[in-house]
Amino acid sequence: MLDAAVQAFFIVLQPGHLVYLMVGVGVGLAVGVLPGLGGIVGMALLLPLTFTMDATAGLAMLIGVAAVITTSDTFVSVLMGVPGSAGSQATVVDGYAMAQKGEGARALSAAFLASMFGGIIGALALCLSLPIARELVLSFASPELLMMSVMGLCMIGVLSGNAPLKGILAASLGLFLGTWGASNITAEYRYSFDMDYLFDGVPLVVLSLGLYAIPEFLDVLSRGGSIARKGLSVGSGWGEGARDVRRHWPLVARHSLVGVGVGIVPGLGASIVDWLNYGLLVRTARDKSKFGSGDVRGVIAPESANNAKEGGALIPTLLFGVPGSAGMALLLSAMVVQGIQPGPRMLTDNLELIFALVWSLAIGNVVGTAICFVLSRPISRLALVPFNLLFPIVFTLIIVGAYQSTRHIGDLMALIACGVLGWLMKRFGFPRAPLLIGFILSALVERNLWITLNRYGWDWLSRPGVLVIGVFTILFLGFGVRAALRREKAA
Amino acid sequence: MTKRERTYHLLFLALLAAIFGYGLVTALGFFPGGRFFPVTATAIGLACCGALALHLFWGAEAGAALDASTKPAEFSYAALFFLAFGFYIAVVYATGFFPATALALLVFLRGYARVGLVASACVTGATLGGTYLFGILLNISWPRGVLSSLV
Repeated sequence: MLDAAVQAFFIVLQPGHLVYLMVGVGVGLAVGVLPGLGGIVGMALLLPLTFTMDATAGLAMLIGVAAVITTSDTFVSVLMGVPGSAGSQATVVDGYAMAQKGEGARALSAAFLASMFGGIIGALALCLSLPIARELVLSFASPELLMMSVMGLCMIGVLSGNAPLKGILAASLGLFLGTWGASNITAEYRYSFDMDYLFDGVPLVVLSLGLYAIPEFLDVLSRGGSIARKGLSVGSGWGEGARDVRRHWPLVARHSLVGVGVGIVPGLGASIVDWLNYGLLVRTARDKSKFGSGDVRGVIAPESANNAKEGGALIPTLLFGVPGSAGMALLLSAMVVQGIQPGPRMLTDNLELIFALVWSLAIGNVVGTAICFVLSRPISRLALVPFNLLFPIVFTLIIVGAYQSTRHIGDLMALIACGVLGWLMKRFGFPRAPLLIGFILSALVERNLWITLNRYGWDWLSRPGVLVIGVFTILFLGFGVRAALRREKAA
Repeated sequence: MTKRERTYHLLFLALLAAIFGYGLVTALGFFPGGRFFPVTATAIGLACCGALALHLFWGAEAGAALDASTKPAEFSYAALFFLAFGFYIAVVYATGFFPATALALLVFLRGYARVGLVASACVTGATLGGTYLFGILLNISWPRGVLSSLV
């Protein structure tokens, strides 16, 4: 295992690989600064490019995007009081208050360093989980993998909002859409409507851009003006922020580990990680008097956690083939296109690749933080550019990204259809992540179901591993539904 | 939730139920091996649609996703946006990618964003130039349009 880690380190340091990692980091930084677009849009735009690239470099580029979004989104959270992404909502509370007191640079410095250490701790957690998870994962056969997928989908459906039924409905829609095109079980085309465009099903890039990019694009456009209001100046205190992180290092370590834990659980992800950590911080702090009025701990805790989450999210994605978030689902699909099957065999067949991703995540975090420090002033101005002037670039990127899927005019028509569906889902409060993850897992679930039924019949349901995962699934569903009912009663 | 909002919600659920219903009926005609999975997925989807509709009929809140819209675009604005998008694709089909995109960007910048003529031309030119270079780099053949084959 150590040999694989060392070999992967040298692969990552190759100039060709580093360039692509830096492209990913650059896109991630830009997308993080522009509120409303989000990391999934950035990853979806780069996804078609990875299909023709070397697998390690392509995946490193996507990891580069994921690694730094929650670092650069701090600019708008701290300086403008607008969450740069779902993972930086809690940073606004104390970060913006600090900026209003002229301590913007201190808040940014503490946030960048906490993010960097969080990201590195996340990568380390992924690394350390490999020998521990190895025995367990390698004992899994198709019935256990099938149940893991079902559990992941149920958790994502139930935990991605306070509407479990909507989540499960979205996951079912994703599984259904994933069956379109040539069947991998029988020799027939399903739901192709006699259109040659649909013989291979709905392209993933078109679906992800339609579900995420088009609705965000439309909502930002309808609001008009620049993406963020006129913000505050960066101010001073760069050194003080670094000293804050050193002074509060146990906080960085604790919240990074919580972030890893949140990342491992499918469905929790970015929207919850920052508030969960902020709440934990407030509950456990001795001095609570300054929270909300500019306490640097209120910046350090959520920022450590939201970067560490990516390392945690990679664990179920790589080892079980169950993506914990929409971003990880895109990474998983890039692997499948490259002929790499995520799951237990990754530990025997592609161990070097896993370590290459670990190194890419760590290096991406360090480089992203360095760029944020060096280019803090120009990056913070990017969010003040009127969206009307960014429109041509974003619009063309979406069109080009979608057209890259099959280079057929049908890509653009499907983009509109998926855009309408995505906007309606967002408008009516349906979670979109379960749909995307269901779509990506559809083929895998169907294949595992087919193999399981043919090999074991219905006896597979009595296997000990299946029973344990099944009990966990039922417990999660029960708790999720009960929590939603309680919230509804309270409202 | 207002009565109007509830009606819109129910209409969207009806649309989803129609999609699942079509999927279920069609799936029953597939070969046995390829039937089970789509039937299961669509049946679960239909059941969720029914449960959510009942939930709304009883006057309960439907709940929302964590990434739901806080300030969504108006329905009329969204309809106009998707109509314009559809028109753009029709122009791409007729004239090809570059003329249609140039037209769309100029109409947006001049007509909607009220950007000056020179700035609009510069932004459009730079965007299309960048896209063209990108296309050469990745060896992309852009849609040429049916009209170009008639010329």
